[in-house]
Amino acid sequence: MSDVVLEVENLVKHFPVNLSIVQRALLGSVAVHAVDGVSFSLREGEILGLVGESGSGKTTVGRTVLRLLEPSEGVIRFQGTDITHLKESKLRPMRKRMQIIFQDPHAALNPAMTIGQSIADPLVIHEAAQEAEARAAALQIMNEVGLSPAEQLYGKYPADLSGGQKQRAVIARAMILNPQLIVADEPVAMLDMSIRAKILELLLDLRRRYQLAFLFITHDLATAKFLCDRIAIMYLGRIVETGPSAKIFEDPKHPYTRALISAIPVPEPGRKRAGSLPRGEIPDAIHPPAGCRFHPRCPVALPTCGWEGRDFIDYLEQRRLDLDRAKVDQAAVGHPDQWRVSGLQAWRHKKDENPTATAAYLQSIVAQASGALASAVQAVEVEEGHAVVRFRPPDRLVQKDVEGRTVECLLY
Amino acid sequence: MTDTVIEADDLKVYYHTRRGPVHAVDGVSFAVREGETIGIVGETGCGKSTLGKSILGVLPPRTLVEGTLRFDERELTALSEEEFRKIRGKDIALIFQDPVTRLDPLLTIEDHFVETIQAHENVSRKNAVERAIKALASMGIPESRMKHYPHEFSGGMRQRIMIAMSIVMNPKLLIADEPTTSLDVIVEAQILEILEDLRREYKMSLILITHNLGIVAEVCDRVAVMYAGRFVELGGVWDVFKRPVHPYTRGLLQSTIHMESKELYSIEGLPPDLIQPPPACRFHPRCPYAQEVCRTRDPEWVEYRPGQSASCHFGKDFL
Repeated sequence: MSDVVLEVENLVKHFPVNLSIVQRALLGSVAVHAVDGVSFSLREGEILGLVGESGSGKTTVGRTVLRLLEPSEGVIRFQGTDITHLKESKLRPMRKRMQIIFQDPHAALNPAMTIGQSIADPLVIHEAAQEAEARAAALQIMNEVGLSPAEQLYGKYPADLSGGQKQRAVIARAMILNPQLIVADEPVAMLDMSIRAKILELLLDLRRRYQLAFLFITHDLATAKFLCDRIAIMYLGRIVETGPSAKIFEDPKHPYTRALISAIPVPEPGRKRAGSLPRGEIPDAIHPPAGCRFHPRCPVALPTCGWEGRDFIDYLEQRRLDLDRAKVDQAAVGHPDQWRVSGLQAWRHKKDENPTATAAYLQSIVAQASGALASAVQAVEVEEGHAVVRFRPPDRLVQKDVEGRTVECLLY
Repeated sequence: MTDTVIEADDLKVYYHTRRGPVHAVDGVSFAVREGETIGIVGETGCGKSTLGKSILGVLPPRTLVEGTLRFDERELTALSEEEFRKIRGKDIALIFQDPVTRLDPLLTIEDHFVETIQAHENVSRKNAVERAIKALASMGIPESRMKHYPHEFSGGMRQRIMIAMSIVMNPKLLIADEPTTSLDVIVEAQILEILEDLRREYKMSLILITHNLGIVAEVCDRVAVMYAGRFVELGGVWDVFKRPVHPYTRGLLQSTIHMESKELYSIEGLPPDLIQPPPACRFHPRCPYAQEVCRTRDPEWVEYRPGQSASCHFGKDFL
């Protein structure tokens, strides 16, 4: 496997949340689970798309594999060398071979440097190149990325260039050190449609010419479909499905992948969306849902997908959207604010005159729940004067091979 | 045509700058009917947002506005700020791209609603709160969150709150400027479903300003394609998408990367500088079919098919 450029195993990146001493005493240490066990590899000349919504952790993965962020756990191997904890002095020479392209070309270029200086700068920094030499190299790469006439643009400032030209300059700057790996983080998201295609073509062209490996980070499935050989779909810090791009788009297996694909608006009048949308939004990564992280939103969730106490509170709140039903619920089980959760359980915290009646009402609304929630409830009981809803423990979630791709879902 | 909600005739909006006037909107005419959703689509800097702002009367001072803009028997371009304030938020409401900047971080959601409703109607707080609860519930936000502050909501929730706030006065016309651009696809699709439901339920007219052709195809009845301050094409969504007349519309459709794209396409060149726009047809420097006449004479606005108009000298050849 000599042609593997990047190998990532079980990568974890948590960002600790700053708390006061009191909060820490009460809550313990709290962290955002941005990336929570991600593995993939990238070969020479391959484009791997890391696709997900905002908050999925895709950008964090991109920065952590380049050691722009320190990994919390896991292993990162770049061209066979374990760089997970490599000292900065040893890492520095390797950085030449791994570069990044950012989303916003307007922010990625120093406004006080000319385009040429910006592009030549990595050579000066990494290889102590002389000015003339750096200039010649910069001009050459500028021509290659379509920044022509290069001589003329060399002395221009970023403010004189269009968005597309600036992104070409950013690409040129990444290319000048002749890297083997480029992490491209939403490189066309800020550009207008009519010029996006040109930049994507440029990336494909560079890949062809230099056998570059790309980690292409995007939220845009259509672009990923066009560009990538393989796709990894991320949701809340996990890769839920990964495989050859053609396969995934033709027949997505994970319910989240399906939802993402069907949600894209297609410029085709009269076409109706297939299937129903998952409700809600990507949840908070400080307390990711138990079991499969997508289960609270999943249209085909099973009773063993990870249902827990807070899903019940959420259900109580959803019921209250019907204003008449809200009144009845309020009288019988109180306001959701009066409820507490812990793991698989949820209970009415406020002192209850008749917990048995509360439990009976709860039983009846559990039965009304649509989908898997109803069967996920193991018991509604009275315990120490409180009505308690208890869920059954989830099944263990493992990654499985499903028709040539890896899926993390209990359906398979 | 009594059911016309708003009608623009040769509307021009020029921003004042030190380098000279920016021709952000340069002679645009259209009418929006009751209950209709019209999309205004174009790239950055084509003037689509300016058009929306001119209808709401929120242009910067010293901006030159010419032409007419009739809404409900009134001439909007002639209204004083005081008169505009009575219409804005009540008869014409707006949904912005980034709801977080439009909600006051120091006010709860309930306060936002009460303030909005009481600004236009003399009603009690209790009555206003009741209406707010209804509007929010219809957007999927439970009443238990009424006392929460904007930062306690996710992006999609904030946009739902904005929509609930703009419909609580039951406006005749809703202007949505890139309402889903800062949202993820699934949430975007949820918001689009809401917009569609609104139209069905309230007979509201909607002007949807966006760069995303997919959204237009999904929710709009008609679409106007805007380039460099002018409409280049206007027609039913099906016609414009399936049988575009103007080369720019064609290019825009082709360059959109979507799930069925087979090859990449881009329009050569860059959008023009609106201080010195190109003479005659503004698209001619980028148009693959441009002839001498395109550089010298303004193309006429011609109805090529019933309800589908475009401004191209060679429109007939593209039918």
